[in-house]
Amino acid sequence: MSTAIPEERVQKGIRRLLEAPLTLKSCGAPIPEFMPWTGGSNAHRELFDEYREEVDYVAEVALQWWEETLRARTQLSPNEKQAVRKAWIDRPAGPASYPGLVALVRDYWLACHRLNIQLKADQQVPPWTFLLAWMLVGDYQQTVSVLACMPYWPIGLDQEGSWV
Amino acid sequence: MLSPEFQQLKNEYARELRDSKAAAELWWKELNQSYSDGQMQTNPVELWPLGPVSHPWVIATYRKYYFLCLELNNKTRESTGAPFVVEKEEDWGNADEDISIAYEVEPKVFVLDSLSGGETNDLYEFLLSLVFVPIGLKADEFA
Repeated sequence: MSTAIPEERVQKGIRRLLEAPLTLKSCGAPIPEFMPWTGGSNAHRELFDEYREEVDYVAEVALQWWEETLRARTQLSPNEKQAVRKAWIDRPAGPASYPGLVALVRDYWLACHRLNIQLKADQQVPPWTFLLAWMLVGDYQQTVSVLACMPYWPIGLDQEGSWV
Repeated sequence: MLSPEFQQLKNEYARELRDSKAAAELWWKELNQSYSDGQMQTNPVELWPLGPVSHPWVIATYRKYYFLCLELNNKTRESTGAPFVVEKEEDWGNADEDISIAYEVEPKVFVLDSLSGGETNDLYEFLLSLVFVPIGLKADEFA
């Protein structure tokens, strides 16, 4: 895993991103009761095959961009630690601030939601499970570490209770 | 200074954002109450480190008006005879009101900086905590 993202930040981030959406139930957000033993529908698994390939690539680009940002900052500063800390203060989402990653996460969140509304409750998959929890299985540590830098999911909820 | 069309859009944005802010703050208060009462095990601030500003209601409003601003820019470009004065981040607040009317505004300036000062300053200060911009660009939009 890249040293550009502290491990503690990754663990906190995973927990935050998987638990936070559950607190939106009272707001009318569509929160599927996920049945882990079903693993969603075939359509979800096909969509996930596309997603994991794309997100793995975009997260790599995002990480390179972040590492270059940190390198540039540390070269200009007499104090390396302070420069790195300042970079995280200026951009609290670190590599996850990369606009291409935000667009990708949003696209697949909404695609997962569109599948959910066509399926029975026992086949629905919460978008955060699809985007992050499923990535925890397999060799995607680096990608997970980039995703875990998001302080919150970049998704909106409209007045009708739909993700937007 | 904003053109009348942008001023109208800003008024609608401020009204809607104020509603989203109030609803998100109420949700946040109730979440913290649940934690204090022991009904919720995790401290809300661990799940939502930036607090109510990151509620999806606020994100929905922010995104909606970001793209409405983009749309209005495109409309202005298509219309004939409108002078194009672009309001950019570095220009905000420095314009000479007598001669500079913005018929085109950068969306990121519209959704944040245009709220700074006056009756909407509370909304500006609220949005300052939205440190992770929920917009996103696709590869073909970078150019």
